[in-house]
Amino acid sequence: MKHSDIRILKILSLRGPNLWTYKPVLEAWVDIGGLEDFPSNTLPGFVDRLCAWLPTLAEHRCSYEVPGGFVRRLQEGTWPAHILEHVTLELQNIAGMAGGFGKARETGMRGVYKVVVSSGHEDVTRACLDAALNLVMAAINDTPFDLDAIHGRLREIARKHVLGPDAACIVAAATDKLRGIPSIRLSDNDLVQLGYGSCQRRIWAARTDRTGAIAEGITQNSDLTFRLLEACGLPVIMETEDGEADPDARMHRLLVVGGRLVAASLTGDAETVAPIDLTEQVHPETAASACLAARILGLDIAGVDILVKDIAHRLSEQRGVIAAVQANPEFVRHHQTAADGSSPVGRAIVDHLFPAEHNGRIPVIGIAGSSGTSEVAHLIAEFLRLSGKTLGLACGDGLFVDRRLIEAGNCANWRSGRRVLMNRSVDAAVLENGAEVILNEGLPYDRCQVGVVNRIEAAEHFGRNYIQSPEQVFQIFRTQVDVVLPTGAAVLNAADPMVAEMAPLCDGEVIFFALDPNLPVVAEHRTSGGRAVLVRGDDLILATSAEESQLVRISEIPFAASDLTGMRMERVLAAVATAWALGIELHIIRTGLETFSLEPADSNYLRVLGPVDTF
Amino acid sequence: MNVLTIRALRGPNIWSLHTSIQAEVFCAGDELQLDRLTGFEDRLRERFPQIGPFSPDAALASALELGALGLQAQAGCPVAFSRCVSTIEPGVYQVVVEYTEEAVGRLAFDLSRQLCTVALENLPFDLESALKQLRELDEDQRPGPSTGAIINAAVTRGIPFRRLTEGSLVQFGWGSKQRRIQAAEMDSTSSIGESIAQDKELTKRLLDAAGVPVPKGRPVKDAEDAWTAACELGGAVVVKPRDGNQGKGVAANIESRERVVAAYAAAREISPEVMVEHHLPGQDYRLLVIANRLVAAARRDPPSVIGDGKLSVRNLVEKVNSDPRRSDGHATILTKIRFDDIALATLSKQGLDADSVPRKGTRVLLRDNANLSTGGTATDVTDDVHPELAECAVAAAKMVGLDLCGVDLVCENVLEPLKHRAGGVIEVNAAPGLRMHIQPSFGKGRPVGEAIVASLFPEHDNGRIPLVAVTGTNGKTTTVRLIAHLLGQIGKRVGMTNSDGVYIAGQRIDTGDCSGPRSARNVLFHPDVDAAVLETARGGVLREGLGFDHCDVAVVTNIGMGDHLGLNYIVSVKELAIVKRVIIHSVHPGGVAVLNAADPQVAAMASSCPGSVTYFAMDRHERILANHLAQGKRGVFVEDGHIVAAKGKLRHKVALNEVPITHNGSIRFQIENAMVAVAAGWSLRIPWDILRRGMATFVSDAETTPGRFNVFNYRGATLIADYGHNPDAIHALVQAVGSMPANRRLVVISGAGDRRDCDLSQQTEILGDAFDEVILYQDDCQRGRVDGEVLALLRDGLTNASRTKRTDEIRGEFNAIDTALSRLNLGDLCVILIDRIDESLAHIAKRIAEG
Repeated sequence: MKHSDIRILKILSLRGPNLWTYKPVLEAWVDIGGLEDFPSNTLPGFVDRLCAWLPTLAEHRCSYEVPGGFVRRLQEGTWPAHILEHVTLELQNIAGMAGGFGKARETGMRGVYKVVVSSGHEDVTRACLDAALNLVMAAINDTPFDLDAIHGRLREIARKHVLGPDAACIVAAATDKLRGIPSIRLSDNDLVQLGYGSCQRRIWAARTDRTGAIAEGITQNSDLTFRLLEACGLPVIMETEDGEADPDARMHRLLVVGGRLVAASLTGDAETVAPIDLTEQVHPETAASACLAARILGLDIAGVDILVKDIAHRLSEQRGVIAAVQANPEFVRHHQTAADGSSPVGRAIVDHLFPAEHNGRIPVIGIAGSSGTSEVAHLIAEFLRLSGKTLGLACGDGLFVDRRLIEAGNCANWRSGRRVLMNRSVDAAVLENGAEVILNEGLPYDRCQVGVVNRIEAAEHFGRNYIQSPEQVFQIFRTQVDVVLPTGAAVLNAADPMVAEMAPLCDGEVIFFALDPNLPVVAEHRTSGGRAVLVRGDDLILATSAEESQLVRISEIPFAASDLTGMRMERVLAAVATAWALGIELHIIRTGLETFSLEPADSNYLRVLGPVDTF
Repeated sequence: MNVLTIRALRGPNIWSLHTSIQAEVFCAGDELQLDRLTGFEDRLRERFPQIGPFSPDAALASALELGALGLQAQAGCPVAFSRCVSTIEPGVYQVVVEYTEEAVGRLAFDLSRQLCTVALENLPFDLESALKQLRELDEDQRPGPSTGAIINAAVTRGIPFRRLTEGSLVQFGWGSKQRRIQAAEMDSTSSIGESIAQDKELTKRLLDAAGVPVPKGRPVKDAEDAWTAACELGGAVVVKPRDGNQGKGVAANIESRERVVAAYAAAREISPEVMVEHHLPGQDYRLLVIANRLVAAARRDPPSVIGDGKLSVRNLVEKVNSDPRRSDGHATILTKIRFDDIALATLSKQGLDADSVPRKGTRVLLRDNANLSTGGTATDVTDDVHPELAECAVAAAKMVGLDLCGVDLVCENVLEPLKHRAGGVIEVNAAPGLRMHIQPSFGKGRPVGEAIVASLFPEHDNGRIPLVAVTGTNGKTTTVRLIAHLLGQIGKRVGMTNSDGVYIAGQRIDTGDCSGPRSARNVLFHPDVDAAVLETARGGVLREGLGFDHCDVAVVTNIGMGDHLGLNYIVSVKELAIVKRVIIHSVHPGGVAVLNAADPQVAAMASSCPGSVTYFAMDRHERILANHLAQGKRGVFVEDGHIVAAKGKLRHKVALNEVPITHNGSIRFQIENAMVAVAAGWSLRIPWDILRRGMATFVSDAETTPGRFNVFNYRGATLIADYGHNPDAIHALVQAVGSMPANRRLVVISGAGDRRDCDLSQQTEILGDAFDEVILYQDDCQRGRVDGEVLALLRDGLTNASRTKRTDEIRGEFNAIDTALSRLNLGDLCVILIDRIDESLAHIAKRIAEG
């Protein structure tokens, strides 16, 4: 019997932290139709065919947590959505995008599943998903499948889109646990932004934003290069032309990063022979010469090719010479990498771009909730502006840099968030995220300094994306708390039980806010040393475990005065708690509260450029 | 007339501070006096009427001089200086002619020679072609307009520059303070930034992210997709290559399917990827952003003619091109409109051909882009730019990551902010042309070079590092080392040149005699040099001039009886003083000349110094020093066992017993060297406690100052090795060893062949009165003398020796040393005047090690 195709109903590209994981994923909604009644063990020959086509599936652990676990699941009987997940991941492996995360979940609608696979590059993952679907159907229906053609095509797509080896190595070193520097790929080539906003640096393969265009140009002219090196007393290859070159001399590649020798290899035939690491052996004088060569030309990263018999001895003792200097050196090709793919060079380049105490982060404030989030965002933005930061704000009312409206309309989305984080002027970012952003796009940042969750109306979110329970709504919004940095804070509404329940999920501090100062959850929080922002009588209170201090009188906050429901006051508290978490001086917060006003967005004042005086 | 040598003086020289061609020219017979060459002057002036006036009794060399100067001047080079001077050789003249570009100077010199020849022989001379040749070479050689503007701005601020290539790569400032430019790129201009700007699609996405308005559009796959994209956008579109520059392959304002498809093909020729974007109506503007500031803005109009109802397009173009402000190159404000295939294609797009007669008042375009090089015009609008537009251009530059770029903006006008969808940035250009802002076709030129220099060097920083130049007959090398040592004490990494090498922060990077301009330039180029101390010997000054324009401190230790007299037409100490004085001329107005008040030739140099003078002399009562001190000026002298630095009532003292090289004040010439160093250190504002520590820690041994009074102990005898090779140095040595006790005194001496006969024999005359035994030797290096000649001269000097009892003649330096050593007993003293410093010191060290 021939089974009808699995239908893909929708594919969501979640480009940032999401319901499922911190990393980008594709979420495909698939309808397996009649196959719901045919688990894998009931399809004759299916498991054998699949495992014959993709023998490496045997390594998938799946829920058994041992290699072969997934094959066991196949034999015991599992459903096509789950199989699709594993096959897609395996095809990604084959295409050259190793590792990955996958999940397949029922939706509550019969035969409809969400298949989630990690997505190193959207186009590659889409192609793999597509190919996996065809492969699985061919295996189910026992029809021929041109595996080689598919492998070739996927590898080709991956080669075109996946980050080149040098850039990938630097990005891996930047984003690892030790440094925790965020990265944004800016184009389909090797241009990557490390860090956010005004703290960002850029790399393009093994060039940094400090690599000078003139310096790079000089290296392309070997006569000029040698002339300049010689003027500073360095031996260059031309000198030995009339004298005879040492027949035993071999080519070494020395890599200089930020004025320091970080790697040295015997390159020889780099195509066929793995480079031999000699970093520890280099004679200090030779290392100094390589660094000087980079300095003379003005390169922050340079590959210096040295022709010498023994790199452990002085060049002058053995007629060693500098044979070339390369800007943008292909260091992955020339130098050894560790078994896990990491490289001391990648680490050195990251350390050169970001001195130890810098991680490229600007304060990012994420705001989530069912309502009132735009107002909270505007208020926090005002405090940050008053504290002298060039501020980027993406919220339901538009995209602003400083006080300038860049784009009108709803900008509480991934794309606008990214625009803010890419902007080199921005010192701090306030980004509003509705449930839709987390569900359909993912957060625009990897981690944030402060994550605010204001108020959740679970029922409002039912029905979309097969969300049907308060537990699922909790899962959506907890994402905002999950991404708070250990040095950061979650600002949570203590009066909303679902929000208050998120407190233990936060890696950083938790600051509660509540109109009611006597909530047990707040009292408990303060007892264990936590901070809270509360209202007591006409006073807005900053509360620590022991103390309460008045920040401002409620009656002096014009923004909240006109509001009878108390909803606005809650938003004020959220914003004040955020400002407090950010360490903004109290007099600035006070002034902000006393002067802040929020005019409804006026559709007539749209100006793409120009100062925006009022909202 | 015969030209014997030609050389280029590339820095300040004995004639002037200008770069000049210098030639030795031999004239004979009637050539020695022009009025004896009948009709020559008339024939010369007939061929080159603009040649300057010369006296009738001048030699033909003088005509050569004035011709070379005049030809350059007529070709547009700003030159004014020339000289023709007779020498002691009969008929030999030195001809000196200023140049601005060396190659142009040399060519002008050759052409002037031809001119003189044809004027003598009454043959024709094509002046026009000669001037054209010079003009073309000059345009090719001199910095382009962008580079030139930056160099001029740097020169105005006193920042030194050096062109590192014949092209536009220029070093500004020195050593660790140097910066570089290449045309409109700075060393800080990011290579990634340039790569981003090169990719128009990527640039657009980044600008959009920053909120800079850009035209809508997308990359397209093929011609069909291009048309689809055009339909999606609606209205007129622009088709352009994704990578590209200078408007190549760009088709603007097109709507029809046919033209979109054709434009795709044209763009595909330039780049594999093609983009289709919304065509923004309006004018083309170029906004120049330097270091996040808008510096200039220009409206750029493509070349066009206005119809008069009578003339054809071809004739209209000819009429416009007849404007004298238009030329074929970059030399004038405007460039001629090119009437080529592209122009014809542009015409056909407007339904015209070369012979069409446009109606009166119709504007006819000859090109789509406004590049100046193809006849476009630029109109300065800097003062019109609305602050928001300026901010928009700065945001674009920042986002792309370029510290120097041209932002191309299309909009109706720059007086107002951009209206929604009614304008935008279409491109960001790295290494933008500056000519349109420096010399716009219409409107005000803008100080672009100044802005670039301001971003390279903060205000009040001229990129210079402390530079000390040292010259003199004796003591140069020790002085140079001592001053370098003092600068090292305040944490400077010192670049030092002297007659044994180039040293950077104590490390020798070059060997041999490095006291010339090439080594000086290398030191000033080295990125690790914070201060320079340069021994500046006569050879280099005569050969090529100085390797620097100005110095902070210039030291002339002494001239005395001179050295090397007779070489290069320098026959007297007076002439030698002129050579040594060049560094005094180069002292900048805030700098200091350190001069020997006891040496009349040196003391007289004070009047040549643009800065102030510090005199030194052993004796405070030395007339010139005393007068100088009386006027409240700076002087250094010795008093009560101290070197005293005095100014008015101010006194700084350095105890001689704390300056080891003076051997407790017993060695006179070392005291003089120490005084010079104290004076230089004072001028360099080295704090006195540090200066004293530096004087105390400086050691002069074979390691640190090889060949400079290196004292050894050999089997209980005192051995002194020194490189002194002239009468003054020998005098100083004799004085120095005179105070050292000894049983028997020996001296080993050779002579360099390039010294005058009298200087050679004078050396042994002095020694004969101070040493018991003299060992004369000769080595292979005879510098033009026949075998035995030098030995004979040295022997002559001993004829009337009062003390010498024994004289030996040995072949080979090592042999001579070994002979001396074999004769030494406990308590003897032996001075070895070594010739090959490194080798001989190594030999001596070996013998001492052997015991």
